[in-house]
Amino acid sequence: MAKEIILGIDLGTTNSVVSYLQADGKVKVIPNPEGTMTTPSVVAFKASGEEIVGNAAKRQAVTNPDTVSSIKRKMGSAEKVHINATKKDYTPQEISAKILAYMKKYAEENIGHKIEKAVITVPAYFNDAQRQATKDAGQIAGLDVVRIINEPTAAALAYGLDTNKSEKILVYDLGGGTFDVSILDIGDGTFEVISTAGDNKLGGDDWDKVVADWIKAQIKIETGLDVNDKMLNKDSLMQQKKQRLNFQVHSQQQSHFHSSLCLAMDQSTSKQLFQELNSKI
Amino acid sequence: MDKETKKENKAQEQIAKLTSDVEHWKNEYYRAYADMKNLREAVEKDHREAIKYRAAGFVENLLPILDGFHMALQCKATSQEMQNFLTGFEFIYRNMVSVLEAEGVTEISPKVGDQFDPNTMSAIETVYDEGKPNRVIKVNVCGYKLHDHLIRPSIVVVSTDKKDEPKSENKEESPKLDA
Repeated sequence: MAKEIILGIDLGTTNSVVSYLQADGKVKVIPNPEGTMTTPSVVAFKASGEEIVGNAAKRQAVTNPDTVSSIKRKMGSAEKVHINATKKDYTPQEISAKILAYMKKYAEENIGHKIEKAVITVPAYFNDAQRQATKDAGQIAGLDVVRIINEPTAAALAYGLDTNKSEKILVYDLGGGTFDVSILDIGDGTFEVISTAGDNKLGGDDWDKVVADWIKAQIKIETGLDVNDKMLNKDSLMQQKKQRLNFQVHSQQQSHFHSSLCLAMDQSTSKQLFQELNSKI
Repeated sequence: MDKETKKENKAQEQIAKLTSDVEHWKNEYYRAYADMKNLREAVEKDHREAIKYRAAGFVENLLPILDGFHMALQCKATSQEMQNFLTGFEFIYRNMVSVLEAEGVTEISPKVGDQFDPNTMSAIETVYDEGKPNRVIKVNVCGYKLHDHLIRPSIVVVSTDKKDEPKSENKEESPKLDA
């Protein structure tokens, strides 16, 4: 019998990721059924009783008020989410469990057999109640949560910093909706989070929004058309272009985007402009 | 205890230890063999997937061009010359589509009135329509799939039977962290 596989799950505010350690010592990120490595941490409920998780849930968000996102912000609190479609209140653990169960399912399909154990990461600043809630979510999803690990510790491990060398490192975690910076003291195989700070309202989405506003302004200047926010909705084509623009802008001096959402338009921007646009964030 | 018995006991102990060692290494071997077999299968699967979806990035880069063709072909010809251009555009477009189809690309082009399907469509706006909720009202751009992977969803406007603005996110305010 092969070694037991334990899933490593990054249960994020905006997106979540599931991975496992292969026999060759390499970590494999498991793609979801759509082929993407990250899964939006979004759950939607329909009147028919159907539950939608991940990309599809995100894509139908504007049509369905019973769509829950960013539930991680409520973990550990007694606050419940009321869902009209099912006329039920759900704890944050129950919502998170649906995300975990979805990831467990596609991980099992990818690996080819049942998985029962998982390690889940949480922000270093999570208190006991938040950690317990995360563990509970895993249990509801049918997972035996063998360890809850601090996100910066997991990052340090991923970069192979689990040696006996004694040092202090800074872990910079810029996510979709949150930003965390932690200082870790590593030595003798132990990881101690000395300090953690950040902004849980700052993330990649904010950069996207700035670029979206700039695109809107450019369209207005060139055509006189007002592009409303819904047309620049997170899930729209324009957003996908922006995401690519953001990515490219870091790797090249010049970047192009082409909009075919509402008109034929081609624009280019520079790294300098991107930095200027985002200087106030 | 005579010398012979002692010798026999020692031999028995050695046999027991060696049997245990053999069992241990046999298990280790089986485990390593199973691990390697699983790893080989996983690598082969990844390889197959990589080949199957190798064109994903390329197809994604082609989508603005396809969108351009779509827009051009929606134009109404106002002269014979323009009609000739549009006919040429359509010919080039169809050739391009047939090449993409051969690579496993399929277009997702919902019709107005179709049921909204979040697996292949992305709603950017809702419009009140009490009679037929959750239907496609307008298609902004077509979506594309490469085999069973969604390269881009079709961007649509959807009908709703709720007059109130539906919430799109369930974000809660929480204090800034400064631990």
